[in-house]
Amino acid sequence: MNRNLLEKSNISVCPGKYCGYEINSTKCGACQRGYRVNNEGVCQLCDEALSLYDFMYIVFMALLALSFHWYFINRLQKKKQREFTLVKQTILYFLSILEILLAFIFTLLTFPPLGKLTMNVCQVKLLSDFYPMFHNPIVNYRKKLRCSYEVVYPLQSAIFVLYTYASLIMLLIRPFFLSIIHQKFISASIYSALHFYPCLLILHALCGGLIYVSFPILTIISTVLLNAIHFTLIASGENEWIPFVRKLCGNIQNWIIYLVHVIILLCGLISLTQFENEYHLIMLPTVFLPGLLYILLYKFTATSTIRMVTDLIKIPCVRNLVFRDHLQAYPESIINVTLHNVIVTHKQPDGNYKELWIFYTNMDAIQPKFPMKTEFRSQLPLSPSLASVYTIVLRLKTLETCYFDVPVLDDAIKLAESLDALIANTDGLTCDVTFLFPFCFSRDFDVIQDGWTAFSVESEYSRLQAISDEWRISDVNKDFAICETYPERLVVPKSISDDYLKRSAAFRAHNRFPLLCYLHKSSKSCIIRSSQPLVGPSVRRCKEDESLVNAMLTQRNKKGWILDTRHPNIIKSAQSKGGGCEPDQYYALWRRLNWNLEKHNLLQESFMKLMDACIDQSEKDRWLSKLEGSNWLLHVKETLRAACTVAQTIDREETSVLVHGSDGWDTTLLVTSLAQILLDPDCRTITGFEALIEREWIQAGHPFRTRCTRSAFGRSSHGYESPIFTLFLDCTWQLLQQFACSFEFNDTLLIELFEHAYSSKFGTFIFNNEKEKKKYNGIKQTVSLWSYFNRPEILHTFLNPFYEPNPTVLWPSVAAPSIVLWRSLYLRFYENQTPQREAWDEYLLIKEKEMQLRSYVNKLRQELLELERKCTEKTSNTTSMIKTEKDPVTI
Amino acid sequence: MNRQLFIEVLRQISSRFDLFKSLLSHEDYLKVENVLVIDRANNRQYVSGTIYLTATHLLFDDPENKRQTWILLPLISSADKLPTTQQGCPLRVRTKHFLSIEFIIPKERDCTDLHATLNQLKCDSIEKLYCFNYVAPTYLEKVWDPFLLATEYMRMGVPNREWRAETCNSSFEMCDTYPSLFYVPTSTTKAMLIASSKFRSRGRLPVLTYLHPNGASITRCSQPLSGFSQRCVEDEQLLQCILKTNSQSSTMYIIDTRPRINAVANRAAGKGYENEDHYSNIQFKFCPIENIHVMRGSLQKLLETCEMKNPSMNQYLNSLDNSSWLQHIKAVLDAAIFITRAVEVEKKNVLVHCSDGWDRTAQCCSLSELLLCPSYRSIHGFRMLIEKEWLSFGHKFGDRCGHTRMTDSKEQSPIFLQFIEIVWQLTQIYPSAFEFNERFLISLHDHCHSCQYGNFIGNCEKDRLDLRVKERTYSYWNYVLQNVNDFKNPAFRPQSAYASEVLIPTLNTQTLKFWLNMYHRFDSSLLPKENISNTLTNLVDHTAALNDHARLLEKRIRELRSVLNNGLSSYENIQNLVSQSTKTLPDHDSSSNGNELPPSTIETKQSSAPTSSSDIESEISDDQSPNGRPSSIPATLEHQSSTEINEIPGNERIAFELNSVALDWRSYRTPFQCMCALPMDSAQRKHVCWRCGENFCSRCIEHGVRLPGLYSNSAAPVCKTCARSIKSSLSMIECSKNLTTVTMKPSSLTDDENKI
Repeated sequence: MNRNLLEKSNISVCPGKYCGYEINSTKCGACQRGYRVNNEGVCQLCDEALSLYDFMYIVFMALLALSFHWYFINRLQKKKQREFTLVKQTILYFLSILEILLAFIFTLLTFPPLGKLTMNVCQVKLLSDFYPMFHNPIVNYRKKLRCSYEVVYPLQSAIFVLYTYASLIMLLIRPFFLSIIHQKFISASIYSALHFYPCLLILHALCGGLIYVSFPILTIISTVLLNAIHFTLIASGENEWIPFVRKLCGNIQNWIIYLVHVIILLCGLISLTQFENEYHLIMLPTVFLPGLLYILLYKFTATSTIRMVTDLIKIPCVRNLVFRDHLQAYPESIINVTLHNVIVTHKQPDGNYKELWIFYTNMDAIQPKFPMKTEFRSQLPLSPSLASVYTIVLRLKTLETCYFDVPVLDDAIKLAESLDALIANTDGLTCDVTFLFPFCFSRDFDVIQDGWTAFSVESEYSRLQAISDEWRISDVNKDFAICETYPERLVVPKSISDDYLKRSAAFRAHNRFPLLCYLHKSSKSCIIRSSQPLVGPSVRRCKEDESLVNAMLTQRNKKGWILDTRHPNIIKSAQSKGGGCEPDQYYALWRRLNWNLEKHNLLQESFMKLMDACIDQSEKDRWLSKLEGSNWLLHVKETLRAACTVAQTIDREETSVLVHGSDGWDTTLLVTSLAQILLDPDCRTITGFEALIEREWIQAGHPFRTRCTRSAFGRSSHGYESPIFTLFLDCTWQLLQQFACSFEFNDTLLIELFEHAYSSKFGTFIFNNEKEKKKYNGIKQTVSLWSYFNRPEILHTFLNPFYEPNPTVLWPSVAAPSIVLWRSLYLRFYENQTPQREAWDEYLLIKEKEMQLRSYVNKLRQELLELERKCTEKTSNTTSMIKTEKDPVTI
Repeated sequence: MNRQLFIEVLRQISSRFDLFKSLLSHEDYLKVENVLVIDRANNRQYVSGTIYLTATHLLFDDPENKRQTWILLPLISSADKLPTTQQGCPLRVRTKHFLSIEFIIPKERDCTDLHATLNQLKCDSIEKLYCFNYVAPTYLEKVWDPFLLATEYMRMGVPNREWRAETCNSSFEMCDTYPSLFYVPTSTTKAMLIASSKFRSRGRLPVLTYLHPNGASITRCSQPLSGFSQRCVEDEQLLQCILKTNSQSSTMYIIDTRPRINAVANRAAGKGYENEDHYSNIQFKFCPIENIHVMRGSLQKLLETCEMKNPSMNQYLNSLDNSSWLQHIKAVLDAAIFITRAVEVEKKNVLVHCSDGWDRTAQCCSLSELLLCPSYRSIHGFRMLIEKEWLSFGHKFGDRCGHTRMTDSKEQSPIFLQFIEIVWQLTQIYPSAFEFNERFLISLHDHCHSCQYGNFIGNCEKDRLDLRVKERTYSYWNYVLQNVNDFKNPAFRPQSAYASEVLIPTLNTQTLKFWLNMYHRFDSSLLPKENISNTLTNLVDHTAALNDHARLLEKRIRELRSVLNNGLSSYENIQNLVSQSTKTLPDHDSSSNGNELPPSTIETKQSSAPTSSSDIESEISDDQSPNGRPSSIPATLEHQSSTEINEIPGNERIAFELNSVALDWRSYRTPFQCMCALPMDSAQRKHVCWRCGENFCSRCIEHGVRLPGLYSNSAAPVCKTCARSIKSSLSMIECSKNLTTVTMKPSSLTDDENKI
């Protein structure tokens, strides 16, 4: 019945969009391959010329495959960095270009007209041309006419052909290349290609039409985006123009990638405009615009930080939580999570709101405690009687503990997660230093004395010059050419040339050659520090190093001491790894002494155990045995003993000491700086102490950033943190409490230093060494802690009212009962400190009153003497007057 | 041994110190030469010297270092002979004030002799104690500032509507360890009290010990003889009466300061604790403080820790921890804080008892009162507290301190020491809340062992009455009063928020410190080399001297001004000057309402003390090595009183006055030895001569010299050379004064003429 109907109406048009009559038949149906139905419903041969847009479409698909190739090649490079040289990489890149190009040409050749670099096509008129199967007509609602064929011949099949060719050519070429260079891992690029080609094919089969319609826009958008991402990745961490541009231009890979981006962008533009008129040609140079724009606006984007941090903040604000520390609790507090800090707004007892800023750099660890049972919660101190509370314990590096009781579980989890991520983000090695707060902190006080320039080598040298003229300043380390962890200008013996220094540096670990750190006034003996010599298992020697060390032995007739801060076993194992200690036969003028000072992990462990004992609230555990278990006081005692030994050698034995450990920037500094406090009265003044820290710790290259990443509660990812500086401060405090009147400063200064070392808004303690400071332009970008300290209103709080200059050498007691816990640091947040502070104020008052009275009495005395003088003058006058008066009477 | 030789040696030494007068009067002595003493800090270092043993002291003289160690015999707790070594026979002497010294005596016979003598010299009866023979320096008199329990209770507002005094124990028939007067609720009857006292161990029935201003009270007693089922209705009624005295709370606490297990064990012996079924409206609580035997053992371990020779850090901490001393301290303090909270915060009455109610009860009650009441934190108040809680209510000082050889060593226990140490811990937590300092606490501890003063003799009030202590001995409090400047805490701020309120410390185990200055005080190498508290005392003294001197200078300036202006506008000038001076230095005014007592009030306090003011002129010397050389202060100084205001001072006189007071004092740290070559270390108190400003040891200083440069004409400490020169120049001034008055006469005449 139907059939009849169709056959009858011969002249009538085929139903549906794509059904047509073959030229030789009257049957309505799909056209043959290479034909497409025309307006009359007749199949017509595709013989139109290839349009620019269509051509660009094929190019785009080819480039898509190419970019996949490159991506996987690039990934190879990340996996096998060493073996995959740049040359091989470039070869691979070009190979992939070649493959695609060949495939492209072959494809063009394959399609009619055969053997020519062009194609005959049927014009694409509608999006639906790609999907004829969705437009099969149903005749009389009964029978479906199947008219699916390649309407857009050959655009659809050409891509299939292209990819097939490409994979075949790849399979031909690459194994050949592989067999030449004998590196099997490169075959991974083939396997990945074998994976992504089918994926691309499927993609094309399914969404070919969509891609065809949208590819110019897609190209333009994606290239602009990719370009920006690429630049950001390169630029991360730089915030100055010149280093950024240098970094950008210095790498050939960047150029290639940029070029490719430009080309793709060009393709996108061409296909979009199709050069319908000449104005479109003018638009071509705009392809450079995105890159240029990015570079110009680079400063204002700071993409790296924003991208990283904002992702981590999962919840910006939590309300109605209870904020508490060990002494007080503030209900109805609000916590705001921002880029650099957490702002806790809490209500004071007097009704005012107060904001507490906690910087992420100050956060040490976060311990969420979400108890399932109520009795678990009761272990926490001061727990409020809320029905369900989720406590987040925040441990700060300054050893404080904050508790946040969040009423909603979801909020609590989110808050804990974001804080945790943000804390991890500040980790010393992984985090970019310029992200740290000191770089964003702008000074809010007037600098009286700039801390960056306050302590120079020159001033130190002039001091030295007064004692001995055997030293000179050397510029050998200009631009950190010899040693990265030493400052640029150094004091060295006059008799030693820069050449010798260079060779000695090559002989020492990290190039830290022996350097003077203190010259004793009375005995002219000196303390020298260095790193371990690279003696190695074969017992190498370096004559330059020997003469350098001997030149510093100012007392010629006496043997010096070499104090090694390591255990003999550690020295032995270091020797097998290339390090070691000075062999006796080569350093005949020196005697060796081993002193076992722990560092790194053991010290950190000890510090953590100490704080664990200090914050322990339970009654049962014996606090003293916990304190003993931490071994902290043992470390304090040993360090002090070592320092005393050095001081004794310098002052009593009158001979020089060379101190070193393995790297010469941890325990070495601990010993040398403490010995100087014992020996040098100047180091016991505030300025002297600041100079000592600047000289012996910062310029000597103690890696503050890695050592102070975490304090007593957290663990960093790299495990290099170690409380060496804390130990130094603790030892200084022990001296301070044994010699309460010999120090110009009080323990407030030491506590402040501790806090700033771990978390600071100042740039003094955030770099690992001088080179890093210069690299990040720390002097201009950040403020020095000393600028802050050396202002009268701050300095005032550090003064010790009982200070009387003590020119003698200090000999502290290092017996066990004399070593006591530094309560005002470790327990300062867990005990009420107000009475102590009040007593201190009282001391200040007493001292001030005495000073006032003294000057007042002095003034009175002078006045009295003056009056007395006048009085005697007057009496002599009056007596003479009386005499003159009396005389006439008698007459 | 040759007596002649001994006296000669003593004379030789006494050329250095004239302290040996008291020694010379005694007949018995023993001398051992070439004795070695090991330095405790350094094992290899020896000191050689001579031991002298007299009836009162053991003296080790070390001529090389010019150091002398005086040990009062009653302070010696043990003398042990140790196994003989190569160098000789070691004799270890330990004292009750934590000196442990090891003499190595070359001859074994000497050692045996010394050992035997030391043991014999230990007092065998209470009548022979040192205090009955002690001759104090003359400035101390056998005057006892009477302590009346009634005045102390009056201060608390007792008797009042709720509480009344009970006199039925006036001859100690009801309870011999209680004072003759005690306070019970008004609603009680005598029968009730008698029955209750019979039901309580040793008759120590519940009596009032402290009434807080908010109405809550602390009462103390001993354990009830309840056994397993005994009850006493009267005792229950008495407790109800006590409960009803405080209307703010319907219940009261009964605190048993023993661990529960001890209390339960006592039940088997017919004693025990109150049964909650029989006593209504009470809350019963155990505060686990261990008994005297545990405490004694703990102290023993603590002292062993201190005696360790050069311990490693871990050994030391471990040993300290094993002694559990600080844990016991914490247990006592915890109990005291609990009582304080109950009284102050919960406003409930508290009844405290332990076994007999004289050890732990005394500790807890006195400590909680110290926390509750600010007035107990002054020196006077602290004395009252000790008199009331420890002496009146019968802490057995005689037994616990082991004053005589006869006392059972098992009765000895450092209960009072613990109390002292806890007070010290509190002074560490609240440095400005207490009027007294560490030196006072240490001195208090030492003198309850030394038997030098009669206060801590015997076991209870009755014992001391029987011994007629007040007539025969000196009072410790008198000694304290005479040296009150030494015992003052410079940082005491009575009006600060902490000092004027109830103290409720939050106590962690970490809070408590080891008391280095108590237990290690003889190891000066271990102590901090520079001591802030001594420096502070020095500063306060200096301020006092300068203040006094400034007032004199002001006066002189006024006088000279008036002379200069010839009386025309002198009055105005004086007014100006006065206003000027008060402007330039407001300290004169601020000091009177200021933080510590101004020097003038200190002086008036001294002179208002029972001893007459002339006593101050005598020398105050170290009380443990007594000598009473009265200094002859010329009365000629009297001329410098304010009545002489019209007298115009001469040049020499002004120069002399200026000379007599040092403007700058020598830094407290620098002299490492006194002028007499006695080495001084940080632990020793150095005295400053107000004239030359130098530091001296306590033996080279003369107290009570009147300096002409001081306005208040009060006594000041002066070194001996200065004292001499003042005396000589005074006589010179006397001569020249006559001259000046002669020469000045014409001018005064003209003054008069002008006025006319």
